[in-house]
Amino acid sequence: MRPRALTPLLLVAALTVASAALQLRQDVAVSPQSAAPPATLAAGSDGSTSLGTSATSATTSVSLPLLGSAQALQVQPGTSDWDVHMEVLSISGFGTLDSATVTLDGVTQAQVSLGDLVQDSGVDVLLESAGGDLVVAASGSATGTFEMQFVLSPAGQPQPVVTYPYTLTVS
Amino acid sequence: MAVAVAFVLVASVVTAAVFIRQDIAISPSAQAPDVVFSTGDDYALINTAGYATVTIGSSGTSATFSLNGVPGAALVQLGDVLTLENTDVSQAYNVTLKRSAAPDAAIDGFDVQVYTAADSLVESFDAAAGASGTTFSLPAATTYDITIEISIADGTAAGALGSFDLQFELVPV
Repeated sequence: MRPRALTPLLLVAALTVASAALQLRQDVAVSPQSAAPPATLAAGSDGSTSLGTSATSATTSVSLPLLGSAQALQVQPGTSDWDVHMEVLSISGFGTLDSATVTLDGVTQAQVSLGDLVQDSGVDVLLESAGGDLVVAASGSATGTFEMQFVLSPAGQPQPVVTYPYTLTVS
Repeated sequence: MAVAVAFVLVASVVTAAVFIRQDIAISPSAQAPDVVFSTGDDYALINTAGYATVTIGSSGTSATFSLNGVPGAALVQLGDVLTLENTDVSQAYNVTLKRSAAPDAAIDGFDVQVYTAADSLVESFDAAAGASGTTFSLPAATTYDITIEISIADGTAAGALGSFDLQFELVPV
């Protein structure tokens, strides 16, 4: 006769094996596509700009004038209206006497003051499909680099979000 | 001699004629699923903008998901585009995300992010970087929101970039 204590033990072992053996799988069939960008980047009238092949990334080097601002980059509209703002991911190379401002269509997006990053993002600016380009301008007296990104979303909506990398070096 | 040979032949015929059959009577039935997919709160905005189309299967246990990425962009984020809901009030599940195949080589990143309703990140699985994510718990009567972030290599031509299955493996806890 089997000892009584063994029976519950065997039952627990059987149940444990049964739980591990039950597995469900539910699939989402994913079909990605490469699509036209909501906006494209183009060189500004000042400085030297290198664009990515798809015109959705850029690097600009520009000298800051004593007075006024340098037009570093243009953001060109696509087929629908999008909101655009800029965000700073990091800065480098600025000295303690350096100050610089980056604007998008005249709206301040980033600012370094006496070597410190004092503003790291700006409010949205509307990029109208039927409107003109938005101009990225830089002013001040500084030598340094902003690692930034453009953040785009359909006008008035929070989603989807498209980000374009942008490096701006001022001197 | 002739008698012995005849006996062996008869024995062989008798063995082949013995046939035993034992049956298990099986009665399959369909059961309502515990865990189901549905579109997320921001899906309508994303779909209107032309960046994703989701079709949920009739039973909620499968979906098709077509989406757009932008070549050269750091990423395209489709926030709260899907949900994963455990409708059972007592049974929790462990969930592991896997991919059926590697995405197209032009896809630099395909990040599947799972969030609680309070926007706490539960799991982040990059299907472009690996075949399987980390197992996480889906408690009973709980809904998680899913965000997808896709990045496509600069210069990629417009058009389809293959397909793969995003597999949700569920094990009852």
